[in-house]
Amino acid sequence: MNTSLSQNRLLELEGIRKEFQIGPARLEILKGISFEVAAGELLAVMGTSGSGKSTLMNILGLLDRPSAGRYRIAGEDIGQLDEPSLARLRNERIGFVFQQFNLLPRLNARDNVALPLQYRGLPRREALARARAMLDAVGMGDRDHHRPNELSGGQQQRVAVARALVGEPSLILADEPTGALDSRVGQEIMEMFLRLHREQGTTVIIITHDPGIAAQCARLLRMRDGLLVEHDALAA
Amino acid sequence: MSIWANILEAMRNLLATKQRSILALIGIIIGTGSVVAMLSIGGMVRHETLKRFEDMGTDLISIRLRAPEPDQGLGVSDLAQVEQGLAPWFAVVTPSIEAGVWFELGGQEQFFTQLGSTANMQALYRLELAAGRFISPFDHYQRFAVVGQQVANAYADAGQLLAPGSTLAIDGRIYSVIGLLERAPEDLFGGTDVNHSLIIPIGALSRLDGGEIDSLAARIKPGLAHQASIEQAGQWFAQHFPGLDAEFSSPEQMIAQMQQQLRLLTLMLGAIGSISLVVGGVGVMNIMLVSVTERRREIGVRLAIGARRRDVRRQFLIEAVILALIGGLLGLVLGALAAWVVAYFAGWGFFVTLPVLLLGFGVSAAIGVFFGFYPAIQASKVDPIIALRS
Ligand SMILES: Nc1ncnc2c1ncn2[C@@H]1O[C@H](COP(=O)(O)OP(=O)(O)OP(=O)(O)O)[C@@H](O)[C@H]1O
Ligand SMILES: [Mg+2]
Repeated sequence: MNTSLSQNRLLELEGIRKEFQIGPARLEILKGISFEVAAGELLAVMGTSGSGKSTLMNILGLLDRPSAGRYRIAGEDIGQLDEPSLARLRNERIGFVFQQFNLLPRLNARDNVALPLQYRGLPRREALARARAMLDAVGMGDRDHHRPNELSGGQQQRVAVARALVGEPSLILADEPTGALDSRVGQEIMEMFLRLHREQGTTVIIITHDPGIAAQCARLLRMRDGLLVEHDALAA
Repeated sequence: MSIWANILEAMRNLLATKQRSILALIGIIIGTGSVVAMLSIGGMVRHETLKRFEDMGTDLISIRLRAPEPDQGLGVSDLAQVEQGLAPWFAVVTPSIEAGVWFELGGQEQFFTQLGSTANMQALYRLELAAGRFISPFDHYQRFAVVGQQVANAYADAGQLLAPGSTLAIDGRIYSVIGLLERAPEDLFGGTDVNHSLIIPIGALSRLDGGEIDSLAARIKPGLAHQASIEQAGQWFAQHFPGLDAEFSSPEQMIAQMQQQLRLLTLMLGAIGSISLVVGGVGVMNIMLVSVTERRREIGVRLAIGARRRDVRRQFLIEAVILALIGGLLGLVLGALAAWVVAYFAGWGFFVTLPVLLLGFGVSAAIGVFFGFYPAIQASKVDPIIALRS
């Protein structure tokens, strides 16, 4: 890793472990994971099912705390932060995209996209205006009053991407974003991430089982059984 | 997220589960309805009673006299002493002796009262004359009669138009008519109806019937506290006429009595109201808990995009309060309707006051907060990881 990268570290993980209590047993799912991500990287995470990818993603996204180890975002030690501060960080710096889209079924596309801004405290009118603009940007401007169940999977994922982007986060975490889509539509979504990475310099981490998707990322993390087994720069 | 955005969302979520929401609200509807009906009916009774006293004045006092032992009663000769003795509290005092009589007039059985009184009576009861004059202090033992409206009507029906100067034969006595009364308001103390009476100088009647005075009517002096004056006057009686039972009635007492009679209704509505409100509250709690379970994934998503736990808690609490308020609103309508029905059949003027409405609203909001709190806490404790995995 060169010096310019290390000066520009967005994420730093040191010896991250995660245990779950399952009945009487404690099961270690992450067994000591260390890596760094520079600002502006496009990163794929692959690994067998159950290897702990989503668990890692939840920790990266501040939805969960590690059992041990240190995690810093932009130099700030996350272990020191209380719940409202974590919520604020999630709201301002992180955008999530899920395999199952996870749009709120009772809200239309525009209201779904506006939600992060409303939690940020923006006036509803402004939040809605920015949501509309973001829907235009992902090519869903004409569907802003449609509810999720009136949209196709690919359309829903576009709206979900708009929701992840509307707050202008520095980090996008996508957990199998193309997993529920056919390959053509999946590639369209992937291209949105590529464009975002290229044009805005947003850091993007994509969990995927699809080698074709992973191949488009500059860097690949491979996990097995709670450990990073490969930690290499692809293609470049 | 602003409170308005929260409210908007809450409405949207509730609308999505209309039927279930309405069912859960029946308890709150009935509860708030009962509270509103109870308070409205109480208010109307009070207003209605006060209104009746308005014509007569709320300073009017009635004193029923009863002497358990013979010869202990108040006689006409004691009047001067009584008037003087009660003067510190009462501005005008007028006695009455009543002698009822059934007799036949134009083929109809009639019941009239010969009411022995004094000239003061006219002012005290605010009686209006249709013709002639009222009895005067100078009439002493004269068999004069001032005729109540219903009596005059009965005579007119029997073909005899009464006028000052006419003579009447009642109960074997001859009276000469000196005046005719306009319709008088009914006696609020439940005493004799002036409209069915002949008012006769008390001297004349006591001489005929040897009567003891049945009751006194009086007006409390302006500016005096009613209840205290009544108590002191009662003490005066106990001191000077120990053998006499003097029972005071005041408009306040009458109102209290009427409200006492309504106590059963009030208690019943109160009991129904509070039970229903608790049932309704549990209904709200139940529906909110179901909602939390159903919307776990939604909560997980909200947390992921930056909602704080207290945002989630607030959202569910607002939803519970709005749910309860909708019930409260329907309850207000129901309660007002019930009060209207009661007013309609009782012949009262219907009204609902703002404080009652606000209270009904407040009660339902409080129920929403109280019973919505636990589900809201549950919602805020949802683990986003588990919620999003499912
Ligand atoms: N909250 C939890 N409680 C108990 N066990 C958990 C929890 N979360 C994850 N696990 C377990 O941890 C292991 C890793 O799960 P994880 O979801 O991270 O896998 P993954 O790599 O994302 O798999 P997939 O590719 O199938 O999504 C699994 O065995 C899972 O059952
Ligand atoms: Mg996973």
